[in-house]
Amino acid sequence: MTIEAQLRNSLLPVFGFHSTEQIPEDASLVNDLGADSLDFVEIVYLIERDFGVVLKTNELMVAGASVDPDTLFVEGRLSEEGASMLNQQFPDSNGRFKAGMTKVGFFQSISVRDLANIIRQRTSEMRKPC
Amino acid sequence: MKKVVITGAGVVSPIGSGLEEFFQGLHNSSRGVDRITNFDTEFFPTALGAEVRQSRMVFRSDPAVDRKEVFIRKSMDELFRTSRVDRYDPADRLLHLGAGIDYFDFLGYVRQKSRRDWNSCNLRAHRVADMLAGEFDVRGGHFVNVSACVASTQAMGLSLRLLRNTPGKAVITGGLDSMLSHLHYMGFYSLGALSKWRGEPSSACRPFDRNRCGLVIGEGAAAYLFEREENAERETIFCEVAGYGSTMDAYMVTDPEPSGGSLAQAALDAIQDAGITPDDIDTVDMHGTGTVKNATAEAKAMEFLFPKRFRDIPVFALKGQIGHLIGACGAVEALGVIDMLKHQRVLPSVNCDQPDPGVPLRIVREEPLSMKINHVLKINAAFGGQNTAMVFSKYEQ
Amino acid sequence: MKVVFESHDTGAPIPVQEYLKNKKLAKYFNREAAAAVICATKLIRESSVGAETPFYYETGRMEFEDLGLDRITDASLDEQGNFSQRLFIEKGTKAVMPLTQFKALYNMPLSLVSIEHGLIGDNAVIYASARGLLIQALHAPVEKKILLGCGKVHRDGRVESAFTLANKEEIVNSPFLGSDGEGIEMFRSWYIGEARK
Repeated sequence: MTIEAQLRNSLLPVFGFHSTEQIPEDASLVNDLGADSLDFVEIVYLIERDFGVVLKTNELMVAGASVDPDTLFVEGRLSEEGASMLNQQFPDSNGRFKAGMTKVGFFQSISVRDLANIIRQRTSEMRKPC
Repeated sequence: MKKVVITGAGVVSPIGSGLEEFFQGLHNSSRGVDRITNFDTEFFPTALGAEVRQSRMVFRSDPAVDRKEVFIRKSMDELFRTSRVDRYDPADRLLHLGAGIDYFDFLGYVRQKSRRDWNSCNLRAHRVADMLAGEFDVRGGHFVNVSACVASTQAMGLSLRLLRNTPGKAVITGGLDSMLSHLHYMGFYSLGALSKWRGEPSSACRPFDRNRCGLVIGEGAAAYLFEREENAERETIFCEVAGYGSTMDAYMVTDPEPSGGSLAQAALDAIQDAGITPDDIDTVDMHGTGTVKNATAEAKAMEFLFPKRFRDIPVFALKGQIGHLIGACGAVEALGVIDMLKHQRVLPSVNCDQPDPGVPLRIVREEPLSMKINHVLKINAAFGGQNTAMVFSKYEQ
Repeated sequence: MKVVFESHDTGAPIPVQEYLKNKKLAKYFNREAAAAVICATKLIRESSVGAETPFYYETGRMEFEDLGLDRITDASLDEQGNFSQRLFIEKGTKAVMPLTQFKALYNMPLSLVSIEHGLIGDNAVIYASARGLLIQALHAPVEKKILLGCGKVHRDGRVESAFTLANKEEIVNSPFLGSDGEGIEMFRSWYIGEARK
């Protein structure tokens, strides 16, 4: 089963859905599926439980890389460097992370596929030999 | 309509226990938030809390002890020692308290090696009321409200309604809570609700500050004597309890309704209940938890309530000093209101170092603001969407 | 006085999803809250309940826990069966969903029924006291019908829930005003009384 398929399955109870068809891969967690801040707490918990990937909500922004997510923002807005880093972190970003974006804007743009990519990135890092 | 007044009080809190110590801590802007010491927090990802203090020492107890039970007993003891509640026949005394969720002796439970008994480790708040009613000879009826963060203000609100409708009674009311224990504390942490402050612990709870970053759990209790004015001895009157309102957001389990409309409606109900208008309110004692969303929702409610004055009306929040006492928060914070009415000044709210431009309220900072105060609005809100508002007024014959 | 009274056996699924408009709410339900929403929905579907109707709920003394305490406990014990604070933090606290904290709050049945049915009026949650619920209702700020509910989780895990709409006149002479009984017993007596009529 792909990470995307597993993730869509894990997310069912978060949104009260019965079928993974209700969770398309390109759906925005916030704008399309209606995720609120506590849903992200739950999502992070489920990612740890089901994939063994430990993340904090804030760390979704840096895909768990060892960078303080707060340093990407200046006065609450995404900096040029921050935008460029995020576009690199998310392979399907198509340059959608732009300077000036707020944290709320970031979370609004995160899709199911983005989340799967973060998990993929972290699980492949975990498998790397020391 | 019959006037109801407060004629006695007792308190146990993170900035001092007993009225004298509490008011001293309040006036000195003492901060009760620090690293938790009463129970072992080794390996905890965060360990800040506002523990009850007496003579500056943290009150220590065995893990098997329900701290909030101890706190409310001490508060009632002070109330009974210092008030004239003894003028009422035990059958005319009622006890109506607000409490948080029950204390669970988790360490005691895990140490039960075979057939663990959940019931024996779960110390229930209604049982506390049963015991206190017996100990303090309150025979007119007792019960407990458990509406999370508005439990104590709902208990006080009902006490007001009950006294207006019932002659010859006295109600002992207020609230008790302590969630500073393994399960409850980590439960709040898991939700991401606790303050993420990395600086000095005493600055971790920052109501309305631009850098507010979550709540800090506190603990404590307050008990009051509510009487009808006609039965009260004039010289014992602290203030009038003039109005009460309660509404429900019916919005979300987790977040306050962002327009603040439902909270504002509770306030309008309380103001109308007091027989005054929003123009008569001199200052507001806010819920002010130190979370991002609470501040914006409260600011919206203020704008709704006072369309022309919301930027000018001075406001106060106590949680920066004592943390969030959950089921007891409104009851203990009401002492701040009593203080404002007595000394005719609004105290500074601590830790609001950089006011948030997105929260355009006049938060009194650094120095007390002396002014004429006749009516104070007190607002609170709970997880789950319940809101309460009370109006306390300077007592005038 | 129509009374809806429901009982759910230990472990039997409580089909709250069938009654929910807002399906996402389901994740916040403990068994008492699920039973309360079903009961309230059945009553409200047959009655006219305005958004500002006062709503008071009595939560009975909970005698059975199924929120995952034993999962937390088991994950917090070391190989010798002793409590380990490190394991409690690393594994125990993660043995249950973060939302479990909400399930443990006593105002959730009232909150969830209110959200589901858009009830925004005067409200309160009273703990294990029929008298408390009656006094709250008798001092409600309006002279209209009041929504009253209660729930009880019994020691064997059985869940009971009951709801009614009542006027003050209908409850002012209740014998439960003079007793220390729980709400569920009062609702049971009302339910039996109605059934006999």
